Amino acid sequence: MTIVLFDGSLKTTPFINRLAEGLAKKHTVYIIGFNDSLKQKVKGVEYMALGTTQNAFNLLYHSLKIALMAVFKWGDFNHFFRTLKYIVTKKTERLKQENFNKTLQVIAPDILHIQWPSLLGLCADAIANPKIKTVLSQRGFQSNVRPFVDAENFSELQDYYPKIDGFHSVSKEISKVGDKIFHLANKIDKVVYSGFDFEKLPFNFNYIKNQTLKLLSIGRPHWVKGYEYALRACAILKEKNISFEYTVVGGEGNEELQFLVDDLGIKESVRFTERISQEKVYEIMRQSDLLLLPSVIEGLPNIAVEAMAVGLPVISTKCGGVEELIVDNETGWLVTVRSPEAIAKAIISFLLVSEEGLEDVRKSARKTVEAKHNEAQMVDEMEDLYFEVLFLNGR
Amino acid sequence: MHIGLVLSQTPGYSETFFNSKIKGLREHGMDVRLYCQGKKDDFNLCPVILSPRVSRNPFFQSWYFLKEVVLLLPHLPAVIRYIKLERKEGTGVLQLFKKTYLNAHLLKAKLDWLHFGFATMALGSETVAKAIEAKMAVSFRGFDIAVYPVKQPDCYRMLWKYLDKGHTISNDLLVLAKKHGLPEDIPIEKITPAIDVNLFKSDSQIVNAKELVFMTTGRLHWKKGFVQTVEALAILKAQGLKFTYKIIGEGPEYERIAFGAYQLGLKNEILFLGKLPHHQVKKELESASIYIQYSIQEGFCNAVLEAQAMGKLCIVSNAEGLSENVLHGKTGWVVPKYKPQLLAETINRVLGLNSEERKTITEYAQKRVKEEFNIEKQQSEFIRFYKTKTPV
Repeated sequence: MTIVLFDGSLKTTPFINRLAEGLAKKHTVYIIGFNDSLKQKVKGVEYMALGTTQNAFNLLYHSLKIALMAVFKWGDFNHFFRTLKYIVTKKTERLKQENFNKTLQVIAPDILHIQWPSLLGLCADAIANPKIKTVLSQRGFQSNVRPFVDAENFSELQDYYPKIDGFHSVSKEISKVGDKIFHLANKIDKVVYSGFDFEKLPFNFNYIKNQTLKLLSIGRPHWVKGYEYALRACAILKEKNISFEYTVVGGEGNEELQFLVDDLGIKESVRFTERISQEKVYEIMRQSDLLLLPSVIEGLPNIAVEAMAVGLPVISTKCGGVEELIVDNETGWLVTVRSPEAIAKAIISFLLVSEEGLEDVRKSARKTVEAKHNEAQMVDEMEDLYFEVLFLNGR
Repeated sequence: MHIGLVLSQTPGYSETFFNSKIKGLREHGMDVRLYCQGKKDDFNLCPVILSPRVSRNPFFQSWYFLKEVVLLLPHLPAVIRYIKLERKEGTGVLQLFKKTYLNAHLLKAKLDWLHFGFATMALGSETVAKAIEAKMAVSFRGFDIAVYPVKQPDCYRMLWKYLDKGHTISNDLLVLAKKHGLPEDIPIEKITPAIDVNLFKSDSQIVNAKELVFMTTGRLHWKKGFVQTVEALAILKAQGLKFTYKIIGEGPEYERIAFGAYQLGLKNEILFLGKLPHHQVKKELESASIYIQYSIQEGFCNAVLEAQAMGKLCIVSNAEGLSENVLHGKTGWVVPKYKPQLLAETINRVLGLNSEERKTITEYAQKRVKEEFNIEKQQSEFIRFYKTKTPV
């Protein structure tokens, strides 16, 4: 089976990279995208660049390359002249679409796996092409927020979704959310949890709570991450004279968060850092006492899976797929969304948990993620989804 | 007297603060000029001098630069003074060329006062006033004092050194400015914003008592605390209260606020009316029961003055100038920020007041706004601001 994974860029997320690597052992896997070269390619995966809009010459080069390839392969002069026309008239969006379509025609995939709903417009021709089966991932903001605050987006998705052959959902919850947009009895929609290589995520057997509680959050400073609530929880901790340090990895440079820590008087105890590499993330996880996940909404947070794997206790809001991952008091702690008081209360009760109790939670957390989130299982399940789409007519 | 006002853009029609200031000064025979990066077509209150153009194209840029060099020749003494001051401050040669070019329009000016409309506007031009032998004034307006120096600590070091006189719109901002290094010996005057009290007189005092309408006007920005307002309203809905919440304004945080409304089950209660012209804002205000301004950061907020002038019950947060804008328990209610639960409780309490109690509050608010926040008062304060000599 030939599979194209498309997330718009060649620099795909670790999740897609792991999926691509696993699938490439049995299938031909392509990653295509709108940017240029890539330093670290995934083993066994074919890459095709479609030209970047950041750089006019790059787009020109790739457009002509693809157009000439079509001429030599099929004598497709029509495409060639169309490309020239779009170059002369500077219609970059059309040019991007031409490049994408021609590249797909060259690859002739069985499955086109579209990673984000925002890419559907670009994939319109491919979706209409009966020879290509399409799969759409449901994850994050574009699936669980935008359609519900933007009526135009909602109706756009309602037009596209019935034409998609199968859906991949990162959690059961997001699959239900997707049903609000489009639902049919024979809709193919499979929950495939993200998978990890647990050998690279060794469990921390030497976990000891620090004297000064070290709180950690990881992720870009977008409002869905709810850091404002965590910071207000920190202000409550300070009021109660609990000594803590809170690090938000990737939170650097955000005006609102900087204002909040200053205004709440917790500047000395809060640190925002720039984004750091995966290895460094695991290292800082091993030095921390507690992962805070104060999100307003989540698909299924990978960072929580990783923390549970390395044995870092997690306090998370009850949102999206989190409840499929964490059982309150067994594999972590859950609090209601949008409540600084609830977060602070959970942190304070965390301080009172006995050493044995904590060990139990950490070990059960590891067991849970090992069982639900291993890489091989993710690849197998995704493969199942692709086969289901290919052999059952999901439309 | 010649006064140069530095802003990024000419003020729009609805920016009462600068428009009334400019009008008032000119009516009193002062010569006012605006120094801006851009000019809106409909602005005609005073002459506008645009800053030198910046082009990405090196050929154009070189041409602009040469042109500006020639135009600066008649002002050589000021330029030399500027260069000397900047060298003293440790500005490098390349940087000095750039700064001289960017400040060329100001260096050509003959002024008694060079007044920067926001503290951030003065960044990069701190020594210009001294170079052109004018006094330097700056206004503290909100974001420039409450947010920007948090992101860029110590950014006003040079400003404090060269500043002759400051203007703040609220006491709280002055406290913050001092926290960010404003020396005690620089004279500061507080001149609050003002509104056209004649425009915001309520035509009809009758509010449909059956339908409960809350309202907020403002840019959809995190500073405005819309999410926390929505969270407070969710508490009230859970208690069985029926209401509509109208939000007038647009901005980058629409999705965040709208998702809050969706997630908290208030999609039908909350109406986003977008940006509306002044007269329509007034019309919407007329039908509102309570005006809410639960901001996280706020310079002063004219919208709250307007709501008070219209005889509305106002509930605001204690962000910076708001607690001077509304006197707690006298002209409205001030609720500590970051506490949606408290906001909900206050709304409930206000809804429980009888009509006599409401009247006492709104009448006093109307009277106070009329007396203390009218344009004439603001205008005469600004004239005094420039006429009072600064102690050296």
